[in-house]
Amino acid sequence: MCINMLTIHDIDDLNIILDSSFLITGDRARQNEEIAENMWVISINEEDREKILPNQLVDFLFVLINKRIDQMSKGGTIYPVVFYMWFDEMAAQLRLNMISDFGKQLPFGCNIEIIDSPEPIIKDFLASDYHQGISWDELSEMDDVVDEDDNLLFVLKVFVARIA
Amino acid sequence: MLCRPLVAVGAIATAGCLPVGSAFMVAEFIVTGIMAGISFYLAHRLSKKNKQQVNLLQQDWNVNNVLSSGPDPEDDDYNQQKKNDFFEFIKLRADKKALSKRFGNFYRDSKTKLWWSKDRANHGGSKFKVFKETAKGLQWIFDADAAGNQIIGKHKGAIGLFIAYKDLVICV
Repeated sequence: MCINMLTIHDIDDLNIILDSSFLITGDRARQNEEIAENMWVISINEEDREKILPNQLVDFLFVLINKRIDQMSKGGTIYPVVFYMWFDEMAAQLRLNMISDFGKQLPFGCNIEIIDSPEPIIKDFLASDYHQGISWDELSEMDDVVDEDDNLLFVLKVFVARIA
Repeated sequence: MLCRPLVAVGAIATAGCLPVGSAFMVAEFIVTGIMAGISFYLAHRLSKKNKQQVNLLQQDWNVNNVLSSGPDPEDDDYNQQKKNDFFEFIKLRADKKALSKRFGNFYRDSKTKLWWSKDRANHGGSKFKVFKETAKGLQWIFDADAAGNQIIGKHKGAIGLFIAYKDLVICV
C-alpha cells in the first residue's frame, strides 16, 4: 500500500492533486487498491498555516470534486463514487480519498459523524496544535502498561460527497 | 597447447633416450596434469564470480533493509510475534511508555527507538501511528498495518524544485 503525501506552503501547492491520476474499479474486491491509489495526505508547516485561509481550502475542495466529476464523465465511469475527507489529528494531516461506492460504510474502524460541509474539518486542520508533532507537554510517562479503553468514545468527523 | 608435450616426447623417443611406449606414458601424464590445472583454474574463477554476485545481492538487501523504517525482518522475536499480536510485542519490548489524554498510549520500541500508538481513525487497514522523537515531541512518520508493516507514502510536490545558486551556502 502506497499513499500520496503533500506538504503545502501555499494554496497553489494543492494544484498537483487536480491533475493526479486516480483509480476507480467498481469492484469491491479491489477497494483496497482504490484506497491506496486515491488517498492524499496533506500537511502544513507551522510557519505556513497563516498563509492559507479556510475558505481557500474549501474552494479548492469543490474545484477538486468538480474536476473529478468532469474526469469521470469524460472517461465514461459509470460506477457510483464517494469522495470523503477527514482530519487525522494524530498526524496533523488533512486526508482525502475517493472510492467506488457500494452503499456500505466508509472504511474506518472508528465511529464517524458524517457532515455535509467540509469547513469544520478544514478549520480543525488549520487550527491544530500538532503541526510540529505531539508536544512532550501533552505526554506523561507511564511506569507500567495500562490497558487502553477501546475506541468507543472517539468520533471522527468525515465530510462525504457522493459523485457520479 | 596440448601438442607441445607430444612433440617433446616424440623428440625424446626419436633421439633414442626412451622407448616409444614409455614416451607415450610420460606424454599422457603431462596432458592429464595440464587438464587438471585448467579445470582447477576455471572452477576457481567461477566460484569467485558467484561469490561477487552473492555479495552484491547481499549489499542490495542490506541497503533496502536500512531504507525501510519498519521492523527488522531478521529479528526472530519480531517474526514470531508478528504471527501473534504485533502490538503486544511492541508493548513488551518498550523501554518507555507515555500517556496522552487525547490520543491514548504510546510505546517506544527499545530497538528502533520509534514510538507506536494505536491509530484512532483506523482507516483502510492502518492500525498504528508511528512517530519519531524530536526535541519538541513526537512527530508522525508513517502509518502501519496490523503486522507493523509501514504503509509507504509517496512524497509529492516540490521535488526537483529549482534552487538558485545565490541561495546556496557553500561550506568549505
